[in-house]
Amino acid sequence: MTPILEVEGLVVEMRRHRTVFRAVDGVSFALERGGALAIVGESGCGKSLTLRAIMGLLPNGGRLAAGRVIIDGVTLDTGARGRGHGHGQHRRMSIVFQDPLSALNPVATVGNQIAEAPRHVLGLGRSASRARAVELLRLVGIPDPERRYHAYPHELSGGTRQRVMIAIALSSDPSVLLCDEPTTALDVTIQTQILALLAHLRVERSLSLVFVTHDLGVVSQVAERLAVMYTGRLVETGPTASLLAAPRHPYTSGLLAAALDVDTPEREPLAIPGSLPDPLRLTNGCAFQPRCQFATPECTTTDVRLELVGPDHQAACLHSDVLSAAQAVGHHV
Amino acid sequence: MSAAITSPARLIEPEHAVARRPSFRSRALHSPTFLAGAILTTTIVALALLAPVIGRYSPVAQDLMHTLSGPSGAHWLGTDELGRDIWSRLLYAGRTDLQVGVLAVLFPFSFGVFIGTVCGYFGGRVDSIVMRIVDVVLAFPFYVLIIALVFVVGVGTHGIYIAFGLTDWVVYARTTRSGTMVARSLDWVAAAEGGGLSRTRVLWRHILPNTITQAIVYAMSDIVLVILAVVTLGYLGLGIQPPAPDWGSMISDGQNFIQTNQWLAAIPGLAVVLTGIGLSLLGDGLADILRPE
Repeated sequence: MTPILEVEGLVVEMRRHRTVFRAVDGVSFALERGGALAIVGESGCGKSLTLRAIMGLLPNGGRLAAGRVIIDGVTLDTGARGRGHGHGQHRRMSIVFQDPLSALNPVATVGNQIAEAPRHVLGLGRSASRARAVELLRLVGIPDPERRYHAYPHELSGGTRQRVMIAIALSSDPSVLLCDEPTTALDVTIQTQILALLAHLRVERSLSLVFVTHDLGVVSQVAERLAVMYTGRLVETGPTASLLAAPRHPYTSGLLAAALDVDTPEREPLAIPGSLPDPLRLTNGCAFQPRCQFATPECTTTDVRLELVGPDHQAACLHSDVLSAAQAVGHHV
Repeated sequence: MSAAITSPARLIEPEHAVARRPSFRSRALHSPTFLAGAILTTTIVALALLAPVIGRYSPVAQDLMHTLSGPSGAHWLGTDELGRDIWSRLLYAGRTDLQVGVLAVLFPFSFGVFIGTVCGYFGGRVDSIVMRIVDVVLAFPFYVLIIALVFVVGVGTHGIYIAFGLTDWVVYARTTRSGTMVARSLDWVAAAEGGGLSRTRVLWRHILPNTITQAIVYAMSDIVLVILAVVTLGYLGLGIQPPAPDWGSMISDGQNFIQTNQWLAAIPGLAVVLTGIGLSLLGDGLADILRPE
């Protein structure tokens, strides 16, 4: 079966002042029909830009320099038009943003915002679109949808707004839902509800998900595949379970060590030394090398690529064996 | 994974009390600024509209037997140097000035909002060129430009319309452009675009309703500016031409008698001030009420 979404060699160039740098550098992945992929990384690593590039919604100063997006076997026209892909194609994808308040039009009722795509993109009649909006509000778990139809975004709580955002995303009947940190702006209990809703929708609407987050805690709840991103590149991809259990890239293991773990509260979270490099001053070799405890001189000269390190598991590290050996002897890294 | 899947019924978060924003009407009734402005403006507009009914005299009928008479039962506000009834003239002048004010703002408002929206959304070369034109127009002292234009296109109401049409749109274009540029980088615009809506639809149905309030509010004070300009032009003899009454020419005529009959200039002056206050309050009130949350 062909993947529902394939991204090949995506390169996004950002112009800042007078310099141009690659904010996303050669990102490729494939998403199985009905599958879910989580992309994790620190703020600024290019994960949100990757999603926006796939949607054709790059911000000002951003340019898709290379790469292909293939959805359901159809290559999207990512060419000259800049903002938004050609009509009809992107109907297969929708995006859910992080901050549900700024992602809703403040002067339109939520019902009208949900009914808009059915009416003007799918071409349904007025009452049919309305009925569909009400049905979507019910689907995303909003009580009393007929009444909420007439609510304005600011009248709703954060969690409800995010549900509305999801309903809007679903209104054009997409097969892929791109989620840009949809739970980051919500408190933990609401976060769990939204994650559960997404899991529910995956089954109910046979949706495929790409889920961008910086929270490793939510990853295992939403996605069976994980991709770790650092300075615009994927550094490790694989099944979520094996990647979290036995990371093969020092950055991934650093992220895991930096996360708080409820099961072992006695373990102190360890920060990764150093900070994200300036994207304008990226040199040859591995971008993580200045912060890496396993770095050797050849890390600064050799361009690292994703290589198969296990079944269905890829890492971009010259020393991925060292890491796995260290884990084998129980050495915590 | 399956453990995370719950039925939608269990996903419902408690949210019984919906913080409903008060309706436009109730917000309007609770804004003293808006109420005061609305009452004052409505009164002035009503008086102007009712001029033929409550004016009692023709505004141009002269009665040379009773010139410069003070307020009396026959002439509530007295008569001017040609024996014309000041009350009637005041009302008819209000008609002229308000009409010119509103009409002169109409074109700059719609054209400026259109240009500003398009420039702000698409940017690029057209935007740079249009904004340089805006800069040039804004760089000229306003009255110098208006007076020069009225001289060129001709004295009278059509001159005022053309002069304002040529210059006044820049302010609307600039404010709407900046509002549109802010809106266009917001997530809900991206979401609407990503949802497959056409750009035209995103622009006019999503962005414009958010940016137009600023322009509407400015239009209120702009009407005041135009009326002041009309009055100023009338005072300079470049505005509405006699014998049609207008507050500016009334002030200008009354000025000759400032030593002996102060009310001749003071009464139309007061009308201008009250109209200005009324519309400014209305604009401020509208800004409070319409501001999206």
